[in-house]
Amino acid sequence: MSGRILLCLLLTAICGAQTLDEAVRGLAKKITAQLAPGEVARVTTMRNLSPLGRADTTRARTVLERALRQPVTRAGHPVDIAFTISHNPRGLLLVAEIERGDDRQVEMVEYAAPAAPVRSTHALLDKRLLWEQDEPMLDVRVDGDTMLVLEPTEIVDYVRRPSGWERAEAKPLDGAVAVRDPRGQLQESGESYTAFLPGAVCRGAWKPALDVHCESGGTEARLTPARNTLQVQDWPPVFSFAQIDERSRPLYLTAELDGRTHLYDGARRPVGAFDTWGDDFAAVDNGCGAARAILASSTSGRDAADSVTAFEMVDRKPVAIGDPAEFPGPLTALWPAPGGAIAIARDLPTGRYAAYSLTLNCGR
Amino acid sequence: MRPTVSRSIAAVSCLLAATALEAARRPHYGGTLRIEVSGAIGSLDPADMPTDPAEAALKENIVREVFNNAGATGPFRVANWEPMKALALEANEQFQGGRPYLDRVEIHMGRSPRDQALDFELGRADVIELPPSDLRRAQQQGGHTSESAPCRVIALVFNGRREDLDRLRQALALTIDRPAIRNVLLQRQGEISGALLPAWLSGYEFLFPAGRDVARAKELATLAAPLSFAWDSQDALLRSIAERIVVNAAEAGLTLRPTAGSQADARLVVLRIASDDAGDALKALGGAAASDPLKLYEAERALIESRRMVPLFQLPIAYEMGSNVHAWTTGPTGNWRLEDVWLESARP
Repeated sequence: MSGRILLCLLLTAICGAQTLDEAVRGLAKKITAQLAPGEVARVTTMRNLSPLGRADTTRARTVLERALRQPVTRAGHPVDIAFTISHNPRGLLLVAEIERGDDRQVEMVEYAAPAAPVRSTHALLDKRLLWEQDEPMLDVRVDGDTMLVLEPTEIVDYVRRPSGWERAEAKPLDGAVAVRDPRGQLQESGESYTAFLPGAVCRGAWKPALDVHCESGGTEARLTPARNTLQVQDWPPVFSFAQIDERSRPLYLTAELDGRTHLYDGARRPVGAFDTWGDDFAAVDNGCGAARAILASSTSGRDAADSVTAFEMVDRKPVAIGDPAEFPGPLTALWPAPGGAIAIARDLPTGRYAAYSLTLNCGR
Repeated sequence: MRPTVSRSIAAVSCLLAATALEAARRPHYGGTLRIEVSGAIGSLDPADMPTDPAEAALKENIVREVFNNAGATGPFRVANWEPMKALALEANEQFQGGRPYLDRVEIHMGRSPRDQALDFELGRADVIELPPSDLRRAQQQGGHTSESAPCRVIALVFNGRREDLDRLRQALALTIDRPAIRNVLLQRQGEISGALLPAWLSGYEFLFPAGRDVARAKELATLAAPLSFAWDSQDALLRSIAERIVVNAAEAGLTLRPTAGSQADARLVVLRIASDDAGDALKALGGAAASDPLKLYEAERALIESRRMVPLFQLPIAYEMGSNVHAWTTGPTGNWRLEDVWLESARP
């Protein structure tokens, strides 16, 4: 039932949106209304000052010329039309300059183009889109037909329906403090979950119904209050932290505030550093040889496309073991998750946030 | 550039430049950002808006950062205030959008472009204003720059009751060699325009002519008495443009006599695009309110005619910043977002 309703809404939305052709015909009507009896409009100049491609521009001219064509062919006094497709922050602007000698009239029609569909990127690492939304999200967990989305100020429960994911319930995260670079991590265990936020820990059940209880401070907080760093016991603030084994010896990796990835041995002595990773990485189960691998973000800027590459540590140096998975914008989160990792990226063209599940697949 | 090629270049760059750390992607908290500007304001009262475009822009930026435009508490609080001289802001720990990354911002006002450049060279300023003529040089030298969309209009405004004023306004508009001024004096920055609202904002800017026709200008200026002409003598860019306009006018037989004061027949002024909404921007310039594009176009034409204006150029506002300054953005109308700025190596 709800699927039918959604389909109807979608069709209404699609059908209700004005097409470029319709906007051009609207301009033609306005031009025609300016013509005196016996005058025939002809498009003599065409300019494109917009991001519209050549094919669409040519089509717009053709549509305008057809729409201006008189129903009955007759000889009339020609009036020149200079047709310009321009744009402003509200969308395209179709402008007609109706020229009669030195006299000039202007007509305009606005056209707000519908948002371009999101293009899926080619997956090189095993990357699967889980969910996308307009609002920022910090972490996501999917278990069968239920999904939990951690947002900066609330936690949202979704249920899978034949029509897709449907928002079931949302609970505010009392005590969550606004942070400019918000971070948060989910950890689930059966029907319960824990959400780690800057300076706070929230717990609750997500099945069969969602509930939440938050506590500020305490020793269990993993993220520094009002900051974007992790607080790991007896370590300075870091952006990412992981522990792996190299030749059966523990090796700690930290993304520190100097922009470098630092390595420490089991006695926490510094044993190396490099600067070829971004600030986000996560240790994941490998199954391809080494016990654990690291998925690390790239060093691209926060307003650029990003990627995640799988690495193994060999002699305390990172060695890529696969092709990178590309993302259409900067990564805002990369957390370890059962079976792999969760990556969240902000899609630069659309501004939407997308959550992906990342898994290492040795069979490829 | 193909992704594999760009990735290779990035990898090689990282190996070669171990000290030039590009890996710091997550913002850092802390530090003091030092900004120098030429404008100066004497009051922090949001209701007391200066008439000078540069000062109004500065005031709006400060008001937004402190008062958040709605009277609510902004991302920063005033820590120290010396009217017309300096303002220190400190991070508002309770800001509803999250505490700013910076601990403190120091804005030094009334600094000449020369003093700003010197302080920047000596490491005493992190962000300075860049005149249009210096933007290209800074970019060619690898400097970090940021510019707004064109949001300042250089225009001639005519005054007085001379009967031939409209005819001479038309003559002067046709005689000014805008391409030469843009290429030489503006170093190819900004746009030539006959409109008040820039193309990015209205979409119809091309409907306002900005061409040159000296022969027609000569016809219109025949036997005309000299026009008095004024500009802000403290503004080096305006002065150089005004001197060029005087030369251009002479080519059409029109004499412009430089004078001081606001009672001149013609004044060269800078107008400000104060909003990224076309209707609001035109209203702020004195035009009629309109949202429909055709009505807006007609309102803009009416404003230009009624105020006897000749728009000439549309210029961006530009800044240069140190390589340790991250996430500085200059909005389309020159607005700052200091709460997003962070410093790579935070100074205590």
